[in-house]
Amino acid sequence: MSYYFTLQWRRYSRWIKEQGINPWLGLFLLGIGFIVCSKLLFYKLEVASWVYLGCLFYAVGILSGKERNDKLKMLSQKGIYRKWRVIENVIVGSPFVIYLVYERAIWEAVIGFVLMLGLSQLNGRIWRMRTIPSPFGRIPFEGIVGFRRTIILFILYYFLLIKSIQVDNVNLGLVVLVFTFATQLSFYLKPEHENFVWIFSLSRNQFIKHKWKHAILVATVLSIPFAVILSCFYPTYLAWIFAVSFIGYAWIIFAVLTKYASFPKEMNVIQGFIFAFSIILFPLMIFFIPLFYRRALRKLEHYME
Amino acid sequence: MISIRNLHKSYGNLQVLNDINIEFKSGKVYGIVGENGAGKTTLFKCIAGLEIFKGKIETSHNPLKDVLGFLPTQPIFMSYLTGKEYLKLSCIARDNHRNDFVEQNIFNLPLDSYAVHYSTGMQKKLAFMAILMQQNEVFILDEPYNGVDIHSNMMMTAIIKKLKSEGKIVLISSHIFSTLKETCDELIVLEKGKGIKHFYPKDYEHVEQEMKNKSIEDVIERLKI
Repeated sequence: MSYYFTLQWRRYSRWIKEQGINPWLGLFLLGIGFIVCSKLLFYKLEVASWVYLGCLFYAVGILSGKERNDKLKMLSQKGIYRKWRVIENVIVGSPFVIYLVYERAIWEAVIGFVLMLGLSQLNGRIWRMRTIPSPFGRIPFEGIVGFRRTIILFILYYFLLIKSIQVDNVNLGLVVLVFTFATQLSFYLKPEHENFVWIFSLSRNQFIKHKWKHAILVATVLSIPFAVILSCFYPTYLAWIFAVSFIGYAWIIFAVLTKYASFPKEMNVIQGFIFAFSIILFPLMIFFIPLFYRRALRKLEHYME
Repeated sequence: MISIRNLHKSYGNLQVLNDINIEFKSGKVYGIVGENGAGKTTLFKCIAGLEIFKGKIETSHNPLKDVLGFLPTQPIFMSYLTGKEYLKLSCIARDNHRNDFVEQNIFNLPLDSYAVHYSTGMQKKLAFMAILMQQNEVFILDEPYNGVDIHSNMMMTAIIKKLKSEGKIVLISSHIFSTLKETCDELIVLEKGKGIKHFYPKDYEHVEQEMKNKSIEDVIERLKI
C-alpha cells in the first residue's frame, strides 16, 4: 500500500524538480504559505471558519473525481482502494481540520473531519451527477467549464454576501467581490489542448481579443451582480466597489494573456511568480500586460497564420 | 488540391518521414496505410500545420487549416463540457454560428451529457460530427472506425462517399483494410522513414494478400506457441 504513496511523492518530486526547486523546500514553502493564508483569512473575516470549510470541501472533493477513482479502482482490490482514499483525504484535509481546532472553531472542525472521511467513501459519485446548467452555453468553453467546476464556491459567495449585509460589514462584501474575480482566474490558468486553439480560423490578434471578449462577458455575469447588490446597500462605497471591479477585470485580462504566453505548456515557476506578484501588486500589470501580450502572440504563431 | 513536396520530418535522430511527395486531388478519397510508427499520424499533423517540417505543402485553400477537419485517433475532450457545447465550440471556432445540433445528431448521441463520460465510440462519433458541421473542404480521419459499432461504421463509410461526391478531399488511415477497399481511390503505403508506394483499386487484392503474408505469418512464427 505504501508504494502508491511513494509514487505520489515521486510524481510531486519530479514535477517540482522540473521547476528548479528542491522537493523538501517546496513542501516547506507550501506549509508556510498555508499558515500565512490561514492567518490572514481568520484575521480579516468574521466567518472565516465557514470559508475554511468550503476550502476543505473543495480540496478533498478534487480527489473524489470520477476518472481518477475509476483508475484507482481498476488498479487495486476493493479494501486497498478504500484505504488509499481515506489516507489521501486525511493527508489533504487534516491541515484544515487542525487549523480549525487551533482557532477554536470546534464545531467546524468536527464537520470538517466528518466531511474529510465521508467524501473518501463517495468514490466519485458526487461528481457523476447530471449536467449542471450553465449560463454560458453560447460561448464555450472556459466560462462553462469554470462555472461548473466552481459553482459550489459561488453559492458560498452569495451566502457570504447575504451575511455581510445582515451584519452590516461592507469589508466582508468587498472581500467576497474580490473572491469572485479571484475564482475566475482559475478558469484561465490551465492551457487547453492545442487542437482547441488550432481549430480557430482567426489571426493571433483576433484570437486573443475573442478570448478577452468572452472572459469579460463571463466576469460580468458572475461578478457584477455582487457589485450591483453591494452598491444598492452601500452607495457611499461606490468608488471602492468600482475600483475592485476594475482591478478584477484587469486580473482576468492578464490571466488570459498569461495562459497563452506559455502555451501549450503550463506557466513555469517564474511566470507563476510574476503572475502572483502582479495580482497582489496590481500596478505591475501595466508593465507586464504588454510584455505577456507580445509573448502570447509569439507562442500562438505556430497555430495561427 | 494539396501538393506535398520533399517533405522530411524527424524527431532527433529518428527519421519518420523521408522525402514524401504526394498530390491530393478534390473529389478523391485517399487511404494512408503503414505499420504502427510508420508516420501516418505525423504526416497528418504536418498537413494540419501541427508539426514543424522540412519541405513544402502547397494548396489552393489558404490557409489550409481553416478548411481542414482533423479527426484524431483519440479525440480530446474537456471535462464539464457537454456534447452539444463541444459541437458549438467547434463551429464557433470556424465562425459558423449554426444551432441545428439536434437535427444533425445522426448518431443519436446524448448531446446534453458530458462528452468525457461518453464511450470511446461515442466520442469518435461526436468528434466526427463536429468536423462535418464545420463544413470543411478537406478531411483527415485518423483511424475513424476504431471503437465504433458496425451500424455507425456503415454510416461513416456512406458519409465519406458523400463527401467525395461533393468534391471534398478525404484522407483516411485505418487498419481495417475492407473499409479502405470500399472507399479509397488510392492507397498510399508509408514505409518507416523510407518513403511511400502508391496503389490503385486494381492492386488492392494483391496489397491485402501481401500484408497478410508479411505481417501475420512472420509474427506467428516468431511467437513459437
